[in-house]
Amino acid sequence: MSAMGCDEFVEQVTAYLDGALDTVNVNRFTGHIADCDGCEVYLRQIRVTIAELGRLPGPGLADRTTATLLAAFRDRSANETPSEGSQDVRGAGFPGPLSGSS
Amino acid sequence: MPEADQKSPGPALPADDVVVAALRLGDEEMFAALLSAWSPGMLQVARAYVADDHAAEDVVQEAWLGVLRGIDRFEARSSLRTWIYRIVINKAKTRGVRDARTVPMTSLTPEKNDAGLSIDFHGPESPYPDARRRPPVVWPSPEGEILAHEVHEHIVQALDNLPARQRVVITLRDVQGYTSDEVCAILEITAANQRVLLHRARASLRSALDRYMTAPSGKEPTR
Repeated sequence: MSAMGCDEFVEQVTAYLDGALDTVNVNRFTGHIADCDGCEVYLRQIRVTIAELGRLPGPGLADRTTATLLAAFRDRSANETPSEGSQDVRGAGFPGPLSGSS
Repeated sequence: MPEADQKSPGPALPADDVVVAALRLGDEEMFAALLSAWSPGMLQVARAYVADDHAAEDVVQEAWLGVLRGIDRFEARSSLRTWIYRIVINKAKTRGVRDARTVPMTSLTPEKNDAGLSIDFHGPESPYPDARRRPPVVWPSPEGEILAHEVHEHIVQALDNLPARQRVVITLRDVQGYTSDEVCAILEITAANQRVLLHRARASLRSALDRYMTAPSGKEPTR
C-alpha cells in the first residue's frame, strides 16, 4: 500500500474525522501525520475550526415572534380540540406527503 | 432513540411520540420548549437561503405555523426535528427565490456555487497553480491572544460567503452538532454528497480563520 501524500491527506480529512475511512486508509492517514508536520498542523486547524463553529452564539427568535407563535398555538388548541378516539393518527393511511412541507 | 441534542439548553426533550402527543393536546409548555431548543438552528439554516436575519426570522415563523397546521398529520416517517427542518428549508428556498427577483442579492450570484477546489492546502506537487504552497503554520494559542468575538465575526462572515448547501451542512453538523445521518435525512442527500459539502465548507472556513490568525496586523496590537 502506497504512502499517503499531502494532497490526499487534505482530501481525506473529513472522512477521517467522520470515521468513514477503512482500516488501511486510517493507517495511511495517521502514518502521514507522523511524517509531515504541515499536515499535522492542518488537521489541528481543522479541529480548531470545528470547535470554534460549535461555540458560535445561537440567538433564538425575537420575543415578539415567540409571542406570536405561542398565541397561534393557543388559538389552534382552542379551535381544534382533538375528538375522542382520534389519538392514533399515525399509520391511519393519510395519503401523500404533508402539505405543510411543500 | 433520538440523538443527544448537545446544544439545546435546559433538559433534553422527550421522545418524538411524547412530544407530538403533547402538541396535539395543546401542551403550550412543550411547544415553548421546542421553540427555544430548535429555533436557533432553524434561523441559522434559513439564513443560508435568504438575504438577511429579518427574512430568516420571517421564514422560521412561517415554518412553525406550518408545523402547527401539519402536526395532526405528522406520520413519523422521519424524526420530528428532521420533518421540521425540511419545512424550514422549503420555506427558506421559496423566500430566497422570491427575494432574488426583487432584490439584487450578491449571495445568489452564479459564481457562488458548490464547484471549485475542495482543498485549500496543497503539497509541492499540487497541480493547481493558484493554490497556496506554503505549509500551514501553527495558529497562536486561543488562550488570551485571540478575542473570541473577533473569531466569531470572521466565522460568521466566512459562513456568509459559502454557497447555500455548504452553509446548511456545516451549520447543522458543526454549529448545531447534528449527526451525519440526520443531516442526510434533512437534506435528502447521500452520505458521500454530504461529506463533500462539509469538506469544502470546512476548508473554506479554515482558510478564512487562517487568514485572520496569521495576518501580521490582523489582531489587536501585540507589539
